[in-house]
Amino acid sequence: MKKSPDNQISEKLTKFSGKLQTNKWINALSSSLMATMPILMVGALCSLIRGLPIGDAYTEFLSSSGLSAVLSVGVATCNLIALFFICALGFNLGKALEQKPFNTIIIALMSFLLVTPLSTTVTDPETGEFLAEALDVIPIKWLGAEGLFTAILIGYASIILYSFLVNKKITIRMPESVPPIVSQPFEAIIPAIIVAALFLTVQGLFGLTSFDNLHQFIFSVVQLPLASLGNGFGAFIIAMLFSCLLWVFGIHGSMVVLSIMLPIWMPAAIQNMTAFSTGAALPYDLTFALYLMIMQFLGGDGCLIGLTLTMPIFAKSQRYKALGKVAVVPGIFNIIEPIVFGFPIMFNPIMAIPFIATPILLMSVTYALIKIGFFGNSGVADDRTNDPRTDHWLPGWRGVKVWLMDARDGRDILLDLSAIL
Amino acid sequence: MKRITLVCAAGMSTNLLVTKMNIASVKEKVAVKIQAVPESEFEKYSKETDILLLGPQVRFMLPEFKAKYEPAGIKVAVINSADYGMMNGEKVLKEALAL
Repeated sequence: MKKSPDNQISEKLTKFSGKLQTNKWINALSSSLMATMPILMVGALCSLIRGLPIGDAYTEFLSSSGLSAVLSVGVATCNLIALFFICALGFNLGKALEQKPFNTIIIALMSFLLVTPLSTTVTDPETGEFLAEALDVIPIKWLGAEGLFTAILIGYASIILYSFLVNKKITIRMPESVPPIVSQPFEAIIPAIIVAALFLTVQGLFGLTSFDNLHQFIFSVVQLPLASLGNGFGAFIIAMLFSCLLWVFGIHGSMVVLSIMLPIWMPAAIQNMTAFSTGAALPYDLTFALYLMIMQFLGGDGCLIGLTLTMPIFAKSQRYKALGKVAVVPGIFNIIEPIVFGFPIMFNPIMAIPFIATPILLMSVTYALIKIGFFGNSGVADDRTNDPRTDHWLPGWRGVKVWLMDARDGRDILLDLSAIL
Repeated sequence: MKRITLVCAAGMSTNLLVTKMNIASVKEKVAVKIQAVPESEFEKYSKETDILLLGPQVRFMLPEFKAKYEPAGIKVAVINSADYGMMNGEKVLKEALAL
């Protein structure tokens, strides 16, 4: 067996990935985003059931039975994703900063709601004309994907400030004899008042500007540009390249890439999903639903499904035949470690080429096909542990064709490979 | 009885190896308790672990785990990547017990 070389690049990449993965700030963010997955799945399922393109009879049945309205409530869970997220962030960041998580959840949620306006303007849906100012309502718009960046920034700012105040002991201190259940809420009072004062001031100041509120400002100045950049074709290709490259050095690439990219990818995917469920035009051409389709559901990073399926049957060497038998079942469920370490793809320049090039090629072809309108975009965000094959049905019958094409591509690589061996 | 815990990103691929290692342990007649968990959940299982093995794909977490758990008397190591790929349960088990 070949011993893994003590290669300098590998050493550096390992260190870098470790730093990213164990960084408490990044970790709190990505695990909070992951924590909202169950809610997204509820929304995705509801919108999928409601949007199934299986004929007018089905659609009519949904609306006449009232199911359509019920499912809409389910879809609406996604429209509140920032609320769920800020609670998760309050918990994770609170834990990372060694504060009482319940206090930090409340502080973060409060701060988020304080910068959210309590009124909205009602416009004529057809002409867009201003009709009235509705008071005492929280516009749902800012509690969903469009408020997610504000939630991130407010969450961090409020919890860091809170944690600082508590650590500096700027709190009401109770005598030792008072039981913790009584004294704990008191600990949060002064920090809460200071944090609230800060965000009320911020909200008041933004009310004076043309943005009207902090949400609108962050959405147009930070989230929108970042999302359109990060959800572009180029960004996806770079992410793929990086993810596969890390695997070639034996590091779990998608874990590292997702921890950085999720905050940029998730809001866009949710926005697409919401638009899909209301029948509106999708705001983004590409979302990470498509990225996952290629990078996860075709046999994991590197689209190894073709290789995995054919290795136990066609491999000429005994070793690959044996490996194929080990790897085929996990491979179907997109677990690629046996092949990466056993084939190996790790530190193997010949295998690295198809491993990196296949997903990039597939992404480019898919993007081109979307661009010329051959098939629609997939509107539904997905969890990567979901059943791998169903996803390809989402864009309609053409998706099936493309899946077959993908599988063939995978096989071509194997054929090329057997020629090399 | 030695208790071995394997970790990787989601605890899926290490789970395969656990099965192989269990078969090997029966063959070799050694009493071990082996389980696989996601790296993020290891803390919960640290009390019931004597030997912690990291999948090679998460080897960048070795320094962190070493610093955190070695003082508690847990032996920490990364599984050899070739053995991991071939799912060589026998060899991984032997090396873990030799730590």
